[in-house]
Amino acid sequence: MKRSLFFLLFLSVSFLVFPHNDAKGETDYAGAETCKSCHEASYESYSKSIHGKKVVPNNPANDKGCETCHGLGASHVEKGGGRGVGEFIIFSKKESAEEKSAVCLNCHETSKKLALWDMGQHKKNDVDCTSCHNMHLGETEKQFEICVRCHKSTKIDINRQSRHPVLEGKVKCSDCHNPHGTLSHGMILTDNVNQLCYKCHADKRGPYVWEHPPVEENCSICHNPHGSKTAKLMREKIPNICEDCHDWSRHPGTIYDARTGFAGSSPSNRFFARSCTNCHSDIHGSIAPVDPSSGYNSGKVFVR
Amino acid sequence: MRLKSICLITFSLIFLSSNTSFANDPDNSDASGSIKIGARSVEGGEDSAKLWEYRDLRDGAVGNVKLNIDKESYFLNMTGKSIGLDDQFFRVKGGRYGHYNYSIYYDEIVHNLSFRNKTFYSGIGSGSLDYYAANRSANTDSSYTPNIPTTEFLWSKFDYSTNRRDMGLTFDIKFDSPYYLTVKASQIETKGIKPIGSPSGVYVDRTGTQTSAFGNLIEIPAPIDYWTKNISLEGGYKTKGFVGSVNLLFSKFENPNDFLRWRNPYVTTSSVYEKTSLPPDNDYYKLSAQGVLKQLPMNSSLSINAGYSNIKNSLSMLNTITSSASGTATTTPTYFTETLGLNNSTYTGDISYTTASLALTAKPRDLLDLKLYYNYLKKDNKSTLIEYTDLTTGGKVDSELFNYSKNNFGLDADYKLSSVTKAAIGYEYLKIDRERNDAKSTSDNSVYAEVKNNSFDFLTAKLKYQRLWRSSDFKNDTLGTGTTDVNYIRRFLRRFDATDKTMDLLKLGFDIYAAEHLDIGLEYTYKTNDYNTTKLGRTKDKRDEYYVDAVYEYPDRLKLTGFVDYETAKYDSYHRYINPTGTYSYDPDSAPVINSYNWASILEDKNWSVGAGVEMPVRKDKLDVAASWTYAEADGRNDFTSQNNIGNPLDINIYDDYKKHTLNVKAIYRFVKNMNIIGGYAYESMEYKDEQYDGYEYVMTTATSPNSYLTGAYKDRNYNANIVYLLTSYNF
Repeated sequence: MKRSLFFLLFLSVSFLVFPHNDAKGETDYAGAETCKSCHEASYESYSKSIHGKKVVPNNPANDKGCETCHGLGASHVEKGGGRGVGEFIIFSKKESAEEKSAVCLNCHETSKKLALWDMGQHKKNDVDCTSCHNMHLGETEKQFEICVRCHKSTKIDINRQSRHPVLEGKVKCSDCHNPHGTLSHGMILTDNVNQLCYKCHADKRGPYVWEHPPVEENCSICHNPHGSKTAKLMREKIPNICEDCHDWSRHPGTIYDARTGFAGSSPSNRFFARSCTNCHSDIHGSIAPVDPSSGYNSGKVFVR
Repeated sequence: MRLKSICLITFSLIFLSSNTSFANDPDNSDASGSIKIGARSVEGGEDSAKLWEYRDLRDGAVGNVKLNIDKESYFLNMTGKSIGLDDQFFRVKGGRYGHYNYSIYYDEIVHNLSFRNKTFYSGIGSGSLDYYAANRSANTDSSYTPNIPTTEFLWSKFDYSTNRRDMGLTFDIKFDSPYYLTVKASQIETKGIKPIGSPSGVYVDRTGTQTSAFGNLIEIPAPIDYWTKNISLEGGYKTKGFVGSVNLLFSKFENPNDFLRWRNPYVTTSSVYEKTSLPPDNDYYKLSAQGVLKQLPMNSSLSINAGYSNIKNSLSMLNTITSSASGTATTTPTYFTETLGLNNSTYTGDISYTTASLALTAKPRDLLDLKLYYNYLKKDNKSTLIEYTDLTTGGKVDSELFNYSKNNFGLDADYKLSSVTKAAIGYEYLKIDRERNDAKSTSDNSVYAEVKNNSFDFLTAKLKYQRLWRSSDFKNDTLGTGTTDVNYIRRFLRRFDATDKTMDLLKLGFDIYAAEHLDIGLEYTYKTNDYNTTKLGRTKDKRDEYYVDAVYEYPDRLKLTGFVDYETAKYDSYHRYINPTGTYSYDPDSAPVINSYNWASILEDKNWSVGAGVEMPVRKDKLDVAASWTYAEADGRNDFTSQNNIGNPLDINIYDDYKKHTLNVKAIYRFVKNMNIIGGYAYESMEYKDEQYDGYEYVMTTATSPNSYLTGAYKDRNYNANIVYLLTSYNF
């Protein structure tokens, strides 16, 4: 009895003194060379990518290689391999966006680009890192081609007759948006729309003596920055968009119908060619007070 | 030496020296890259700025280069595209992994608006436009013809086009600590010519009398010569639990042409010069700070952002206008202060923005995500208030400094109802207070509900509904002394961006994984705005969009893509025409008469887009081909009705109608290990029609009003072009 008690006590002490190996031991990892033996193409693409460069500090190449991201491989190998065998993360549709992103955030969480990831619409809508980034193949598509996989309406807009040079590669989605998250609506890079537009269109900053209030408040009241069938990225044709806010004696309350075009019976320079902006050229703002010959010809109404 | 040539030579020297460095120490370096050189020929479309809108499509040589070098812990990437052309791009990126990186770039963006425009003015592209014509005492012919060369073929030809050169550098330092520093500097130079127009203000009629003019138009080429210089500094601190940064930005915009000075062709008795204002210089700075706390209880993150920015300029008001009242330039200070009643000879522009944002995300339960946010923005316009006397009415007019503030907060909640269903609801409030004499404030209340389900392995379905209520505080109810006072109409006029409305948005989407390599997407969007208190202005708008796409991708074998999109948009509006002579009223509820009546407009757009693409290896590791085709069609119309059919308005049937084809075919043949031959063909066409441009005239003559003079801006949108190119690519 005493011997049995002593043996039990010895076992208990041993159990307490010698730590359980809940931590992953080296035997749980298969090693990158083992992965390569079956997944040569994936290994080659990984080794050529930035993740595979040993000179980059804290890289998977300096850690557990493939298993840094995909998880422990030993059990997968022991069971003879195969799809879904072992405790793997294969970044498929079966894993949640949060699970997949957590792998990347393990290393990249301190990146300043990802500071606001938790606040962004992409995380909220279950977009994960692999939705846009291909770790093995790198950049195989142009940036906008990745974005329009989900933003289908924008894909149509950037191909309309009036647009920014996105298709030519001169403007990228990330020139205006931060896909990793911001505090702004639409995940734009700045606090509001106008500050964003002024980055490239500083000529619209003013300050102007005469301001056009909707211009000052939000450029996107009149313009669709992704693209439009109407010139100058206007959401609606001129004079229609102007007449939606303005009515007065004579024009702009006049009907500018089919008679008022060049080929019509009563051509009007308030309709043909550039319509209202034929005369109201300084529509974003003016610094001229008045044409003394006519009080109507003034900066206040943006004709000077 | 041209800046373009300097950049090309500098890039070439860096490229060659990098290759030399690699060649001298190949064992410790790893280099790869490609050089593509070839030729291109374009047939057709030379007269259309639309084809060339953002591209330099000259016949001749084309070339791109790429180089990547890794040497120990250092790296260098170089890219050159469209070398030597007006849309060329260069970039050098490099650094030391984990320590610092830098990027230097030079990018040219061409924007062609229209070609072969013409004008009787000389000095095109400068800030002063003139023409020679002898003065005469009066117009002697029956039409109101100014004294300019009226024969168009004698006018000077030019292009409306801008060329933008954007160059900059970024330097990022990661210290051996959580601290980092980023420095950015850039310069954007934009030069070119754009169209503007002005009414003449006056003209001299057949009797020799100078009359205030309200009906004529001169379209004129205005110079673009803009410089924007930016520099920013960002210092930050980042750990897993906290990221903080402070950012300072300076930006300077310069335009040497405050005005476009142009001779007024409608004043025939003497040479009178007008001025139209151009964008003024400005200085801008912004200071902002941001902090993000992570790993808080309940898996929370808290983010705070605050910023202050300021835009300033200073202008002399005495330079801003020349007077055509007496036919001579009058710029004396006493004229401006006594005759015009100008209250200040100098305008100081001073606008500041204060912003603040706060957001809290949390996961209080395993299946529940919450987000609470608040945003604040205030615009303060502390610019000089400019006042002058309106010579037509004798009254005082001031510049109405526009200020506003925005307060916005919202709550989003996402909940996993089950392993296959996720629901989200949200509420948002936005209040805008404006210093404006009509729409003082608007308040938006918005709610949404969304559900996503993937009960079946092959299908994900999403449905979202959003409703917004906007109420506004318009202060125009007592304007106008009576129904024949023009200000009376403002009681009924609503600006659509600042008036009461309800908005409904519905989005439905399906992602179907139809087979192992086949994905199909379906999406429907419906959005409508009902401006329910608007009597005059936009009353309703609506948008429907249907989208279908499919991708079949068998890796390394075949990729097929296709899509179809159909969209309709409709804008309803209601207006009043008033000719203030005889019997008329500004009240839209009064009986219609010939001089005042209501009319309605329905603007409708229909848009089609179709596309297909194929990529496949014809012979493995030897020959790949790719082809794509897209077709876009737009069809617009504007229908009118008027009370008692007064004026018998005629509908517009052709309104921004176009058909656009793009076909691309490319083949890549690997004839030896590192060398490819790439051959390609593209067909592009655009057929554009619009009643605002059809039958275009440079001189528009009517019997009842003075001539209008145009230059042809935006009239060349049609094209039919065949583009062929052949490139050799060396990869290493």
